[in-house]
Amino acid sequence: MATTHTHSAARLMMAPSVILLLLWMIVPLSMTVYFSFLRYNLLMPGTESFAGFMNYRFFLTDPAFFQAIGNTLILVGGVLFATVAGGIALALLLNQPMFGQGIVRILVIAPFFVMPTVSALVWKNMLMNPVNGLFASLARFLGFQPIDFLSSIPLTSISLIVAWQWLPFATLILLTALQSLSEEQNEAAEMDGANAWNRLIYIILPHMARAITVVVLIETIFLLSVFAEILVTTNGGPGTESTNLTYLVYMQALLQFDVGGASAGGIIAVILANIVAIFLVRMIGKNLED
Amino acid sequence: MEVQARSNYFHHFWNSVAISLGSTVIGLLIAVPAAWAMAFSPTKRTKDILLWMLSTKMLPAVGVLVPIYIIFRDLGLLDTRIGLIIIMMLINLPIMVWMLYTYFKEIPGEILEAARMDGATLGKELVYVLTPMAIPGIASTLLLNIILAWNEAFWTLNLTASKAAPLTAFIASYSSPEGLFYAKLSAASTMAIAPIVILGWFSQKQLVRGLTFGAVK
Repeated sequence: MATTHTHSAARLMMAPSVILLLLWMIVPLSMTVYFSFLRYNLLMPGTESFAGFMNYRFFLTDPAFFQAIGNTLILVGGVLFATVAGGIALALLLNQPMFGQGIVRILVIAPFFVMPTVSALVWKNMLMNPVNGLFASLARFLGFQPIDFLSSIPLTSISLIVAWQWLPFATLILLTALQSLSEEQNEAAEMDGANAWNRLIYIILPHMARAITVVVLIETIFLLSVFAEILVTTNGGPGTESTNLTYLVYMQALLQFDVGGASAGGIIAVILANIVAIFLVRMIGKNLED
Repeated sequence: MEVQARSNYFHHFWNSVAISLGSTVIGLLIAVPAAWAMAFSPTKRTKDILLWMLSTKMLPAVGVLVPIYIIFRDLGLLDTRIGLIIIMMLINLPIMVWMLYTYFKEIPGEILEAARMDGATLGKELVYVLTPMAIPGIASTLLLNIILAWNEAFWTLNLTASKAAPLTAFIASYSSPEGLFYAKLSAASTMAIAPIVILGWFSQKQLVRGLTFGAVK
């Protein structure tokens, strides 16, 4: 079926996608690398000069940078833990036959389709607000002093919002994996006297292992670039307490107009993301073969 | 005052529609032929190309924020719909190619041979055999990409001010509260998410497939 004719046609059909993505990857990225070695501020055009590793040195000796790296890791780790644990629990629950299953499933999945700015603002104003928020009323009703979530525990609060957004994604994927578990195997184990806990540990979790890995890797890629939720809730503050790497680069670039410094930060972010990406690509590549 | 708020809302709503639909349709026009070629005429390098495309999706946005901002400023693309359509199309192109590829892969090659034996020309094959079989996959890809583009909130916040701002950016402008605004915020938020939450309900299955690049089906 495959002749030289169809092969050259195939190449022609692939060309636009390949060329566009090649441009998208190479042009801006090499510009970022170039800028990262310049002393370049958008407010002072025409004063660009070569700066060597100054921008990197500036970034790597800035305490805000280490805080941002730490915040990024806490945010990614916390959200991953919450969504995977919660996702497994919800998937097991939703896999049980029950009344109104369809509706429940839809409600569980819905947060994923809410745009990040909306969910962050709703959480900020209606749930976490220290005066009018639902949590504050709840605390007062129970006789506690309401806390101002976004200024006293900003990073935890943001992690909570982001976890709420990503829990449906984990649930959906883990549920899909759970549904492919053969009923017979489970029943056989039950007949052999395995209790629910043992079945979970020895049959269900190993069966979901791959799906869990996929969830972890894909979420990590997206969570490294959490941005909108921080912008509309805390603006990275108080101080830099809730600034992650993405937000730090954004501040450097579009608020301080320091092109060189922001580019150096961007390159560091690229390197971090690549470490994860290598594992993900390799795993999906293996999957492509079978 | 109310009227102005309302007309503002529709202005941003149309920006969202234009950006998500525009980027998805243009993206499909580019991705369908590529996925088609990879599924039906694979070479030794097809797998590498697919994985490379996937890896472009993993480039963090901040890594290219500065140059894109400067390029857009110099070309006059800041705060324009066309600029955002280009960016959305590029960031979603790898997902589109991947999703379409996994769907096209499932169309059995024997059907083509059978059609050819029955004397179908390439054109007839395309119109009567392949297109009907490919439409569900294309429709799912369309749906998922509209959702992703509608909710995208890094580039839309950084590259727009007001003229081309979609709903994500419009809603973000409510982040500094002035007086009584809960009702307004609720109304705007509901209207912003309603269309996409409804679309999302229809596309749960495709979502898993699209977002895991076929790794979980």
